[in-house]
Amino acid sequence: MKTARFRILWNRFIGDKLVVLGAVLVFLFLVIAVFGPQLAPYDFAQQFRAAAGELLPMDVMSTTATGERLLLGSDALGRDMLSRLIYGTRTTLVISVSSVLTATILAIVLGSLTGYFQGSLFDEIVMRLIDALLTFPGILLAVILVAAWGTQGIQIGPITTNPEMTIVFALVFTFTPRLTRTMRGSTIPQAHRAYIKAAQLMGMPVWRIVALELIPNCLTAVIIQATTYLGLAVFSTAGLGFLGLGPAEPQPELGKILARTQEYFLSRQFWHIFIPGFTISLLVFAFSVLGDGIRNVLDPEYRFEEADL
Amino acid sequence: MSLFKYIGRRFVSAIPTLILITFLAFGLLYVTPGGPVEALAGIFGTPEQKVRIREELGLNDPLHVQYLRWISGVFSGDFGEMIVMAPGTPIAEMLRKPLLVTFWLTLGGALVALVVGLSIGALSAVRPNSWLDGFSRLSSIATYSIPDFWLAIILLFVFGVIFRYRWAISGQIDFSRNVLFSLQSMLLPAIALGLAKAGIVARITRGELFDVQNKPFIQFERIMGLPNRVVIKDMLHNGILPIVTVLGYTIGLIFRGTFLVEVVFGAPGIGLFLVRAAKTQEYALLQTLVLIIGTVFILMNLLTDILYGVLDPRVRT
Repeated sequence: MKTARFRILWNRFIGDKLVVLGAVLVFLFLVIAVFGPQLAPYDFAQQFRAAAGELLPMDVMSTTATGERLLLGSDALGRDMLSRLIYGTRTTLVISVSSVLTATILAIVLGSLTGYFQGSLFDEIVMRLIDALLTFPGILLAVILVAAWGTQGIQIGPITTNPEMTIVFALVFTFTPRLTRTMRGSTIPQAHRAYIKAAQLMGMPVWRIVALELIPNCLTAVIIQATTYLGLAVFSTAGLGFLGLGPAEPQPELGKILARTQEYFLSRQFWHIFIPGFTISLLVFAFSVLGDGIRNVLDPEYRFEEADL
Repeated sequence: MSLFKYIGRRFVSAIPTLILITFLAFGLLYVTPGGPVEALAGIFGTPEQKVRIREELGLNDPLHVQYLRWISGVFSGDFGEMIVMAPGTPIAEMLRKPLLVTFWLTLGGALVALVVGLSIGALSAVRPNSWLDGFSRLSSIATYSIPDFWLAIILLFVFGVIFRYRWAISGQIDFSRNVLFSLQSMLLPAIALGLAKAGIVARITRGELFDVQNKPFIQFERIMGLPNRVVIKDMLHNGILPIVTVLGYTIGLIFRGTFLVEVVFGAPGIGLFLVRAAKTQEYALLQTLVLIIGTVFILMNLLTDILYGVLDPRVRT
């Protein structure tokens, strides 16, 4: 019974070529991120010099003074572009995935509780706060928060987090409200079902009802939304990096690399502007197509929702 | 419910959110590392300076007194003064021009997105599965993926660096000075902003119009042999609501995009300002921007809701 259902879902997933392409791309990017240090030909901070009479940073397939060949050339500071892109992909992916993951877990807890205690003071306060946070479109809130916290890391009691955590926190703040709203929405109809009433009558403690009975039955919508948010998270991370609010030098990040390509304008080398932007686009494309695919598999009726991108 | 009552109710329901936005803006200063004193004194501040700043800011008062003082300032148009970027200049004065620039850019972007999106969407709804339809699907996926700031860089590169048009790189948008030149410099940012979002508009328009086309009452009208203009009018009447939603939502997206695109083109709008405020930690400015952006978005949501109520009486209940 279960395998038959799985096969239906699987066939639906495999049926759309675009989705399969997205899945393959995501897999490739994950491989790049995980094995980045093994794949990258050089260290991301190592600076090279050009051979005499050549302009190193400008050229694809350039050879350095010490004989290394740089496949995609180097950036303006003479660092290998390919290695920076690989490490940058790693940074961007780690930040986006961890922020979406954290936001989803938070949203599941908050959403199920507000849904279960619908109409209570707790619900009222949380939902009002979420309304207020929702008035800021995605990346804006993240920009404001990173700006307020600064890029040096946040001090929580005795611990100072590393700078990347600031971005993760800011993104968590931007994603959690929407995810919470979705989770609450799918919790409310479930909370009035007979099995919940039965659990209440049995005298089950609230945390058990919510954690063991309610949450497992309400996850579909929030998981769908979370996967579509991965693309948005990559976009926001790159956007922050592009604005100069990303990780500090020499840590590479895709948006930051793209911002620095404006230094190539005078050299008129198009591929240097093209490659980092294309990487970001491919990453966002892969995630959003995959997210759409998963949504089509789990919820074929779905059409369009306001807070998507 | 009457339209008037509906609008009134919407207005009232927006007030709590608005109040919360003021809390958020006010609270921003207190979540900063080291709090407002460290933020204002900077890294070279001496302990005596810090004590003075504390007193000047009235930070020894209870929190609600501080909030009331700040909010009453806001209501009388006094948002505080710049401290780092242009010391002593009132923020209200600093913000007037950037607000206008961002307004024009968002409007231009929305116009491009609407014109391109609506026409492609409508055409591909009329001719499903044509090459245009395929193109519209592809472009809506591209819309998801291509960051508008990348598109902006490419446009800047092509027109500014290769073709060397002066207006392409100026970013000067000031209609009180030179209307034609301002329009020219708005062109590339508006295209970067609008084109990246046109796909969404096209997709939704196509979906809605296509659906309405196949609804029984439209087919019935066709069978009855009603003139085309009546049928199209009824189609639009039914398909317009989701398109209005998309409109409000697209403007939001474009506004978000202006931030990044302004930075690329060096257009002195709110985005460029916010980024500068972020880097120099100009807190009073950040607070004001949070307040303004929040209010603008609440008003925009309100407007969409009201437009809904006007277009579709069923929503009012």
